Amino acid sequence: MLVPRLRRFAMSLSRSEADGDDLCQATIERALKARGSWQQGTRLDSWTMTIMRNIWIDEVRARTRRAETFVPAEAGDSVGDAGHRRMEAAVELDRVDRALATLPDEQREAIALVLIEGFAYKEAAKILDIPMGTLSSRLVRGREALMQALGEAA
Amino acid sequence: MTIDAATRMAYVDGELDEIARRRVERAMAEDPALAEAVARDRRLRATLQDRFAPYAEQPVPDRFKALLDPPAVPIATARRRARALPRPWIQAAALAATLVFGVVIGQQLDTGPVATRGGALVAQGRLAAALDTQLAATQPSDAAVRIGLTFRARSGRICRTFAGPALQGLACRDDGGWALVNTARGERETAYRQASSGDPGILAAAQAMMAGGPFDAAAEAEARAHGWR
Repeated sequence: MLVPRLRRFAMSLSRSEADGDDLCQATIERALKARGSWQQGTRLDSWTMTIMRNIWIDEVRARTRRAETFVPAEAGDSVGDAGHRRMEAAVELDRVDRALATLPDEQREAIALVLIEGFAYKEAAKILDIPMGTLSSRLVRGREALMQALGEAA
Repeated sequence: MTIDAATRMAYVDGELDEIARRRVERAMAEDPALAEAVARDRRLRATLQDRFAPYAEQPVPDRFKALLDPPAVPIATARRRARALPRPWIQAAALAATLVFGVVIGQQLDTGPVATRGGALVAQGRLAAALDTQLAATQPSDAAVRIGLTFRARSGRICRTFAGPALQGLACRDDGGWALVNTARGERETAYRQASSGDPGILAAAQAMMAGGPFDAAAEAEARAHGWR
Protein backbone atom coordinates (compact mmCIF):
# COMPACT_ATOMS: atom_id res chain seq x y z
CA MET A 1 0.00 0.00 0.00
CA LEU A 2 1.49 3.26 -1.07
CA VAL A 3 -0.71 5.90 0.56
CA PRO A 4 0.35 4.98 4.13
CA ARG A 5 3.98 5.19 3.03
CA LEU A 6 3.35 8.52 1.35
CA ARG A 7 1.85 9.78 4.59
CA ARG A 8 4.85 8.56 6.53
CA PHE A 9 7.24 10.32 4.17
CA ALA A 10 5.08 13.46 4.31
CA MET A 11 5.17 13.40 8.11
CA SER A 12 8.93 12.99 8.23
CA LEU A 13 9.38 15.86 5.77
CA SER A 14 6.92 18.26 7.38
CA ARG A 15 7.00 17.01 10.99
CA SER A 16 3.39 18.05 11.39
CA GLU A 17 0.29 15.93 10.93
CA ALA A 18 -1.80 18.69 9.37
CA ASP A 19 0.93 19.81 6.97
CA GLY A 20 1.86 16.23 6.24
CA ASP A 21 -1.67 15.29 5.27
CA ASP A 22 -2.02 18.39 3.10
CA LEU A 23 1.25 17.51 1.43
CA CYS A 24 0.04 13.99 0.93
CA GLN A 25 -3.21 15.17 -0.61
CA ALA A 26 -1.42 17.56 -2.97
CA THR A 27 0.88 14.71 -4.00
CA ILE A 28 -1.95 12.31 -4.77
CA GLU A 29 -3.76 15.00 -6.76
CA ARG A 30 -0.68 15.82 -8.77
CA ALA A 31 0.16 12.16 -9.27
CA LEU A 32 -3.29 11.45 -10.65
CA LYS A 33 -3.09 14.50 -12.90
CA ALA A 34 0.38 13.59 -14.13
CA ARG A 35 -0.36 9.88 -14.44
CA GLY A 36 0.53 9.98 -18.13
CA SER A 37 4.16 10.59 -17.25
CA TRP A 38 4.42 7.53 -15.05
CA GLN A 39 5.65 4.53 -16.99
CA GLN A 40 4.26 1.19 -16.00
CA GLY A 41 7.01 -1.14 -14.90
CA THR A 42 8.98 1.65 -13.20
CA ARG A 43 8.80 2.17 -9.48
CA LEU A 44 5.62 3.96 -8.56
CA ASP A 45 6.85 4.64 -5.03
CA SER A 46 9.93 6.51 -6.22
CA TRP A 47 7.87 8.42 -8.75
CA THR A 48 5.27 9.60 -6.24
CA MET A 49 7.86 10.39 -3.59
CA THR A 50 9.74 12.50 -6.13
CA ILE A 51 6.50 14.38 -6.75
CA MET A 52 5.97 14.78 -3.03
CA ARG A 53 9.46 16.01 -2.43
CA ASN A 54 9.18 18.54 -5.27
CA ILE A 55 5.90 19.86 -3.92
CA TRP A 56 7.44 20.08 -0.48
CA ILE A 57 10.32 22.11 -1.83
CA ASP A 58 8.32 24.33 -4.18
CA GLU A 59 5.39 25.21 -2.01
CA VAL A 60 5.50 24.12 1.58
CA ARG A 61 9.03 25.17 2.37
CA ALA A 62 8.48 28.52 0.71
CA ARG A 63 5.35 29.02 2.80
CA THR A 64 7.15 28.07 5.97
CA ARG A 65 9.79 30.64 5.21
CA ARG A 66 7.13 33.28 4.93
CA ALA A 67 5.89 31.99 8.28
CA GLU A 68 2.54 31.10 6.83
CA THR A 69 0.87 27.91 7.83
CA PHE A 70 -1.43 25.49 6.18
CA VAL A 71 -5.09 25.65 7.02
CA PRO A 72 -5.51 23.02 9.74
CA ALA A 73 -7.20 19.77 8.71
CA GLU A 74 -10.96 19.84 9.18
CA ALA A 75 -12.34 18.62 12.47
CA GLY A 76 -13.62 15.09 12.29
CA ASP A 77 -10.76 14.01 10.08
CA SER A 78 -9.84 10.47 10.99
CA VAL A 79 -6.47 11.65 12.23
CA GLY A 80 -7.87 14.12 14.67
CA ASP A 81 -6.72 16.12 17.59
CA ALA A 82 -6.82 13.17 19.91
CA GLY A 83 -4.24 11.33 17.83
CA HIS A 84 -2.19 14.46 17.57
CA ARG A 85 -2.16 15.04 21.30
CA ARG A 86 -1.36 11.41 21.96
CA MET A 87 1.63 11.69 19.65
CA GLU A 88 2.82 14.86 21.25
CA ALA A 89 2.40 13.50 24.74
CA ALA A 90 4.95 10.80 24.23
CA VAL A 91 8.24 12.10 25.49
CA GLU A 92 10.32 9.79 23.34
CA LEU A 93 8.57 10.92 20.15
CA ASP A 94 9.10 14.48 21.17
CA ARG A 95 12.78 13.86 21.65
CA VAL A 96 13.10 12.32 18.17
CA ASP A 97 11.13 15.17 16.60
CA ARG A 98 13.29 17.77 18.26
CA ALA A 99 16.41 15.98 17.06
CA LEU A 100 15.06 15.84 13.49
CA ALA A 101 14.19 19.52 13.68
CA THR A 102 17.85 20.35 14.20
CA LEU A 103 18.80 18.91 10.81
CA PRO A 104 19.12 20.97 7.65
CA ASP A 105 16.35 19.99 5.20
CA GLU A 106 18.79 18.39 2.78
CA GLN A 107 20.02 16.02 5.47
CA ARG A 108 16.57 15.32 6.84
CA GLU A 109 15.14 14.28 3.47
CA ALA A 110 18.09 11.97 2.84
CA ILE A 111 17.65 10.41 6.28
CA ALA A 112 13.89 10.06 5.72
CA LEU A 113 14.26 8.27 2.39
CA VAL A 114 16.99 5.85 3.46
CA LEU A 115 16.49 5.26 7.18
CA ILE A 116 12.72 5.61 7.43
CA GLU A 117 11.44 4.70 3.96
CA GLY A 118 14.15 2.10 3.39
CA PHE A 119 15.16 3.18 -0.11
CA ALA A 120 18.49 1.99 -1.49
CA TYR A 121 21.07 4.77 -1.89
CA LYS A 122 20.75 4.61 -5.66
CA GLU A 123 16.99 5.09 -5.58
CA ALA A 124 17.16 7.82 -2.92
CA ALA A 125 19.83 9.71 -4.88
CA LYS A 126 17.57 9.55 -7.94
CA ILE A 127 14.58 10.90 -6.02
CA LEU A 128 16.65 13.76 -4.62
CA ASP A 129 18.44 14.27 -7.95
CA ILE A 130 21.89 14.27 -6.36
CA PRO A 131 25.00 12.12 -6.89
CA MET A 132 25.44 9.05 -4.67
CA GLY A 133 28.49 10.59 -2.97
CA THR A 134 26.48 13.65 -1.99
CA LEU A 135 23.73 11.45 -0.60
CA SER A 136 26.25 9.39 1.35
CA SER A 137 27.87 12.43 2.94
CA ARG A 138 24.46 13.91 3.84
CA LEU A 139 23.57 10.64 5.49
CA VAL A 140 26.79 10.67 7.49
CA ARG A 141 26.44 14.28 8.62
CA GLY A 142 22.73 13.89 9.28
CA ARG A 143 23.21 10.81 11.38
CA GLU A 144 26.05 12.29 13.37
CA ALA A 145 23.94 15.37 14.12
CA LEU A 146 20.96 13.23 15.10
CA MET A 147 23.03 11.13 17.46
CA GLN A 148 24.40 14.22 19.07
CA ALA A 149 20.92 15.66 19.49
CA LEU A 150 19.71 12.35 20.92
CA GLY A 151 22.61 12.21 23.33
CA GLU A 152 24.23 9.27 21.56
CA ALA A 153 27.31 11.13 20.36
CA ALA A 154 30.01 8.86 19.00
CA MET B 1 42.21 -1.49 8.98
CA THR B 2 40.16 1.66 9.27
CA ILE B 3 36.48 1.78 8.44
CA ASP B 4 35.30 5.32 7.81
CA ALA B 5 31.90 6.58 8.92
CA ALA B 6 30.43 6.46 5.40
CA THR B 7 31.42 2.81 4.98
CA ARG B 8 30.19 1.88 8.44
CA MET B 9 26.83 3.51 7.77
CA ALA B 10 26.59 1.96 4.31
CA TYR B 11 27.11 -1.37 6.07
CA VAL B 12 24.22 -0.66 8.42
CA ASP B 13 22.08 0.46 5.48
CA GLY B 14 22.74 -2.79 3.62
CA GLU B 15 24.57 -1.01 0.81
CA LEU B 16 27.86 -2.92 0.80
CA ASP B 17 28.74 -5.83 -1.44
CA GLU B 18 29.79 -9.10 0.11
CA ILE B 19 33.52 -8.39 0.18
CA ALA B 20 33.18 -4.95 1.74
CA ARG B 21 30.66 -6.33 4.20
CA ARG B 22 33.05 -9.05 5.35
CA ARG B 23 35.77 -6.48 5.76
CA VAL B 24 33.57 -4.41 8.07
CA GLU B 25 32.60 -7.51 10.04
CA ARG B 26 36.23 -8.54 10.48
CA ALA B 27 37.10 -5.04 11.63
CA MET B 28 34.18 -5.12 14.07
CA ALA B 29 35.46 -8.34 15.57
CA GLU B 30 38.82 -6.69 16.26
CA ASP B 31 37.58 -3.28 17.28
CA PRO B 32 34.92 -3.05 20.01
CA ALA B 33 34.59 0.70 19.44
CA LEU B 34 33.59 0.06 15.83
CA ALA B 35 31.14 -2.64 16.88
CA GLU B 36 29.60 -0.22 19.35
CA ALA B 37 29.33 2.47 16.65
CA VAL B 38 27.52 0.00 14.39
CA ALA B 39 25.14 -0.83 17.24
CA ARG B 40 24.49 2.89 17.71
CA ASP B 41 23.78 3.29 13.99
CA ARG B 42 21.31 0.42 14.14
CA ARG B 43 19.59 1.88 17.20
CA LEU B 44 19.19 5.20 15.41
CA ARG B 45 17.54 3.47 12.43
CA ALA B 46 15.18 1.64 14.79
CA THR B 47 14.38 4.83 16.73
CA LEU B 48 13.46 6.71 13.55
CA GLN B 49 11.44 3.83 12.17
CA ASP B 50 9.51 3.47 15.42
CA ARG B 51 8.72 7.16 15.39
CA PHE B 52 7.13 7.11 11.93
CA ALA B 53 5.83 3.55 11.69
CA PRO B 54 2.37 4.50 13.07
CA TYR B 55 1.62 6.59 9.97
CA ALA B 56 2.28 3.66 7.67
CA GLU B 57 0.14 1.40 9.85
CA GLN B 58 -2.87 3.65 10.33
CA PRO B 59 -5.80 3.12 7.98
CA VAL B 60 -5.83 5.52 5.05
CA PRO B 61 -7.72 8.65 6.12
CA ASP B 62 -11.05 9.15 4.36
CA ARG B 63 -9.93 12.31 2.60
CA PHE B 64 -7.43 10.28 0.56
CA LYS B 65 -9.87 7.48 -0.10
CA ALA B 66 -12.33 10.03 -1.49
CA LEU B 67 -9.62 11.40 -3.77
CA LEU B 68 -8.88 8.00 -5.16
CA ASP B 69 -12.43 6.81 -5.30
CA PRO B 70 -13.72 7.71 -8.75
CA PRO B 71 -11.20 5.64 -10.71
CA ALA B 72 -10.60 3.10 -7.95
CA VAL B 73 -12.95 0.38 -9.15
CA PRO B 74 -12.47 -3.14 -7.80
CA ILE B 75 -9.70 -4.94 -9.64
CA ALA B 76 -11.91 -7.60 -11.16
CA THR B 77 -14.31 -4.97 -12.50
CA ALA B 78 -11.47 -2.89 -13.86
CA ARG B 79 -10.11 -5.87 -15.70
CA ARG B 80 -13.49 -6.75 -17.16
CA ARG B 81 -14.02 -3.19 -18.26
CA ALA B 82 -10.50 -2.65 -19.46
CA ARG B 83 -11.32 -2.91 -23.15
CA ALA B 84 -14.29 -0.60 -22.98
CA LEU B 85 -12.53 2.19 -21.10
CA PRO B 86 -10.58 4.92 -22.83
CA ARG B 87 -6.88 4.61 -22.13
CA PRO B 88 -6.39 7.51 -19.69
CA TRP B 89 -9.04 6.01 -17.45
CA ILE B 90 -7.38 2.64 -17.48
CA GLN B 91 -4.18 4.33 -16.41
CA ALA B 92 -5.98 6.25 -13.71
CA ALA B 93 -7.61 3.08 -12.46
CA ALA B 94 -4.28 1.26 -12.52
CA LEU B 95 -2.56 4.05 -10.66
CA ALA B 96 -5.32 4.39 -8.11
CA ALA B 97 -5.43 0.64 -7.57
CA THR B 98 -1.70 0.67 -7.04
CA LEU B 99 -1.94 3.50 -4.57
CA VAL B 100 -4.76 1.84 -2.69
CA PHE B 101 -4.08 -1.86 -2.98
CA GLY B 102 -0.36 -1.86 -3.64
CA VAL B 103 -0.65 -3.87 -6.82
CA VAL B 104 -0.52 -2.94 -10.45
CA ILE B 105 -3.50 -4.13 -12.39
CA GLY B 106 -3.30 -5.11 -16.01
CA GLN B 107 -0.57 -7.14 -17.60
CA GLN B 108 1.88 -6.93 -14.76
CA LEU B 109 -0.51 -8.57 -12.37
CA ASP B 110 -0.47 -11.87 -14.15
CA THR B 111 3.26 -12.03 -14.68
CA GLY B 112 4.22 -10.91 -11.17
CA PRO B 113 3.97 -12.77 -7.88
CA VAL B 114 0.28 -11.97 -7.48
CA ALA B 115 -2.90 -12.82 -9.39
CA THR B 116 -6.56 -12.11 -8.76
CA ARG B 117 -9.09 -14.81 -8.14
CA GLY B 118 -12.70 -13.85 -7.59
CA GLY B 119 -11.61 -10.37 -6.63
CA ALA B 120 -9.11 -11.63 -4.03
CA LEU B 121 -5.35 -11.58 -4.36
CA VAL B 122 -3.54 -14.90 -4.52
CA ALA B 123 0.11 -15.85 -4.83
CA GLN B 124 1.28 -17.29 -8.10
CA GLY B 125 4.52 -18.31 -9.81
CA ARG B 126 7.69 -18.22 -7.78
CA LEU B 127 5.96 -16.82 -4.72
CA ALA B 128 3.36 -19.61 -4.72
CA ALA B 129 6.12 -22.19 -5.18
CA ALA B 130 8.09 -20.78 -2.26
CA LEU B 131 5.02 -20.80 -0.03
CA ASP B 132 4.27 -24.38 -1.06
CA THR B 133 7.71 -25.88 -0.72
CA GLN B 134 10.16 -23.72 1.20
CA LEU B 135 10.89 -24.31 4.88
CA ALA B 136 12.24 -21.45 6.94
CA ALA B 137 14.67 -23.80 8.62
CA THR B 138 16.28 -25.10 5.44
CA GLN B 139 15.82 -22.36 2.83
CA PRO B 140 19.01 -21.12 1.21
CA SER B 141 20.16 -17.78 2.58
CA ASP B 142 19.99 -16.28 -0.91
CA ALA B 143 16.50 -17.57 -1.72
CA ALA B 144 14.59 -15.08 -3.88
CA VAL B 145 11.58 -15.36 -1.61
CA ARG B 146 12.26 -15.99 2.05
CA ILE B 147 9.72 -17.53 4.36
CA GLY B 148 9.46 -16.01 7.83
CA LEU B 149 6.87 -17.30 10.27
CA THR B 150 4.51 -20.20 9.72
CA PHE B 151 1.53 -20.52 12.06
CA ARG B 152 -2.03 -21.68 12.36
CA ALA B 153 -4.49 -18.81 12.39
CA ARG B 154 -7.47 -18.78 14.70
CA SER B 155 -9.59 -19.39 11.58
CA GLY B 156 -7.85 -22.79 11.29
CA ARG B 157 -5.92 -21.94 8.13
CA ILE B 158 -2.16 -22.18 7.98
CA CYS B 159 -0.52 -18.86 7.23
CA ARG B 160 3.04 -17.88 6.36
CA THR B 161 4.89 -14.58 6.19
CA PHE B 162 7.21 -14.09 3.24
CA ALA B 163 9.64 -11.49 1.95
CA GLY B 164 10.79 -11.13 -1.63
CA PRO B 165 12.49 -8.38 -3.59
CA ALA B 166 9.26 -6.83 -4.85
CA LEU B 167 6.73 -7.81 -2.27
CA GLN B 168 6.50 -9.04 1.28
CA GLY B 169 3.41 -10.13 3.07
CA LEU B 170 1.27 -12.66 4.83
CA ALA B 171 -0.49 -15.43 2.93
CA CYS B 172 -2.96 -18.02 4.19
CA ARG B 173 -3.64 -21.37 2.60
CA ASP B 174 -7.16 -22.07 1.41
CA ASP B 175 -8.64 -24.45 -1.15
CA GLY B 176 -7.56 -22.38 -4.12
CA GLY B 177 -4.00 -21.67 -3.01
CA TRP B 178 -2.31 -18.96 -0.98
CA ALA B 179 -4.58 -15.99 -0.39
CA LEU B 180 -2.71 -12.78 0.38
CA VAL B 181 -3.94 -11.30 3.61
CA ASN B 182 -1.49 -8.48 3.95
CA THR B 183 1.23 -7.15 1.68
CA ALA B 184 3.92 -4.53 1.80
CA ARG B 185 6.68 -3.25 -0.41
CA GLY B 186 9.45 -5.81 -0.84
CA GLU B 187 12.82 -5.81 0.77
CA ARG B 188 15.41 -3.59 -0.75
CA GLU B 189 17.22 -4.98 -3.73
CA THR B 190 20.53 -5.28 -1.95
CA ALA B 191 22.77 -8.20 -1.17
CA TYR B 192 22.66 -7.54 2.55
CA ARG B 193 19.51 -8.39 4.41
CA GLN B 194 19.17 -8.18 8.14
CA ALA B 195 18.28 -11.56 9.53
CA SER B 196 15.30 -10.48 11.56
CA SER B 197 14.02 -7.76 9.27
CA GLY B 198 10.41 -7.83 8.26
CA ASP B 199 7.68 -5.31 7.80
CA PRO B 200 6.39 -4.42 11.28
CA GLY B 201 2.83 -4.13 9.96
CA ILE B 202 2.93 -7.64 8.61
CA LEU B 203 4.44 -9.05 11.78
CA ALA B 204 1.74 -7.31 13.78
CA ALA B 205 -0.97 -8.73 11.48
CA ALA B 206 0.52 -12.21 11.88
CA GLN B 207 0.63 -11.90 15.64
CA ALA B 208 -2.98 -10.76 15.73
CA MET B 209 -4.13 -13.76 13.68
CA MET B 210 -2.07 -16.40 15.40
CA ALA B 211 -3.61 -19.18 17.44
CA GLY B 212 -0.78 -20.19 19.75
CA GLY B 213 2.79 -19.49 18.68
CA PRO B 214 4.62 -19.79 15.38
CA PHE B 215 5.56 -23.29 14.21
CA ASP B 216 8.99 -24.64 15.01
CA ALA B 217 11.00 -26.43 12.31
CA ALA B 218 9.37 -29.81 12.99
CA ALA B 219 5.82 -28.45 12.95
CA GLU B 220 6.58 -26.53 9.78
CA ALA B 221 7.87 -29.66 8.02
CA GLU B 222 4.87 -31.65 9.18
CA ALA B 223 2.49 -28.98 7.91
CA ARG B 224 4.13 -29.16 4.50
CA ALA B 225 3.81 -32.95 4.49
CA HIS B 226 0.08 -32.52 5.07
CA GLY B 227 -0.34 -30.02 2.24
CA TRP B 228 -0.64 -27.04 4.62
CA ARG B 229 -4.03 -28.23 5.85
